[in-house]
Amino acid sequence: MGPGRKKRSGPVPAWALKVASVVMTFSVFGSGLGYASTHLSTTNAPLQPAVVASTSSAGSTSTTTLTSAVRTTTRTAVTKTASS
Amino acid sequence: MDLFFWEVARASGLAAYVALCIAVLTGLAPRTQALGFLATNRAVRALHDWSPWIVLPAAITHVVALLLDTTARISLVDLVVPFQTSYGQLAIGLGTISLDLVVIVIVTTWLRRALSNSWWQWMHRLSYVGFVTMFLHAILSGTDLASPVIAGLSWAAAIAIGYYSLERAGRSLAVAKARA
Repeated sequence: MGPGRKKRSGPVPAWALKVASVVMTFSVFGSGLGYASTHLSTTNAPLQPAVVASTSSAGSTSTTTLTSAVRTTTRTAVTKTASS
Repeated sequence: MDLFFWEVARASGLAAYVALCIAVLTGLAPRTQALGFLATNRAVRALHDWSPWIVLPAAITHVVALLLDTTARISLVDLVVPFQTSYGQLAIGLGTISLDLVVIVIVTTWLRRALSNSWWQWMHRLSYVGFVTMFLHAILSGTDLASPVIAGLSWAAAIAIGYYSLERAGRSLAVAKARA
C-alpha cells in the first residue's frame, strides 16, 4: 500500500458484528456447558472447595463390608495336575 | 440440581470471558485498526457500545449460578466485597474486583452525559484493570482452564488484547509527545 492511499476497511456491517458476537458468546456457553457436563470432576482444577473434607468425615462414620465374589462349589475339579 | 448450577457457572464464566474480550478488543480496535480487515471503525465502535448486552447477561448468569450452587459457597457479600470467601480468597476475590470494575465502567458509560469527559475516560480505563483481574481470576480459579485447549484460547485472547493495548498506549504517547 503506497503512501496516501487509504487502507480499506472490511465490509461487515454493525448489525452483523452484533449478531456474530451473540452467536460467539452463546456458542462458548453451549460448548462450555457440554464440556462441563462431561468433565464434572477435574482433579487438576486450581480451586478445590472443601467438599473432600466433608465427604471424608462422612465416610469415617459409615462402614463398607467387602464380600468375596468367588463362590465355592462341591463339584469335582475338571482339571488335574500331572505328577511325575 | 446442584450439578446443573455448577455446570452453568463454569460455562457462563467462559462466556463472560469471551464477551469481555469482545468488549475490550472492539474498544481498542478503532485506534489500532486491529479489526480493520473486518469492518469500518464506525461498525466496530457500534459493537463496542452495544457489548454490555453480552457482557452483563453472561456475568449475571455466572454469579447467580455460583450463588445457587451450594458447593461453591459464594454469598451475596462476596459479589461486592473481595477476599471474604472461606477458600481461594485471592482467586475468587480477583473475580469480585473484576465484576465491580465492569459494573463501574458500564454504569459510568450510561451516565456519560452527566460526567466530564476526562472523568469518564479515567473511569473507562478501569476496564483494562477489570480485564486483567478477570483473566487472573480465570487462570487461578477456572476449572475448565485445566483443559489445554481452553487455556490456550484464553491465553491467546489475553495476549492479543495485551498486544493491542500496548500498541494503543504507544500511539497515545506518540501523539502526546508530538503535541508537547
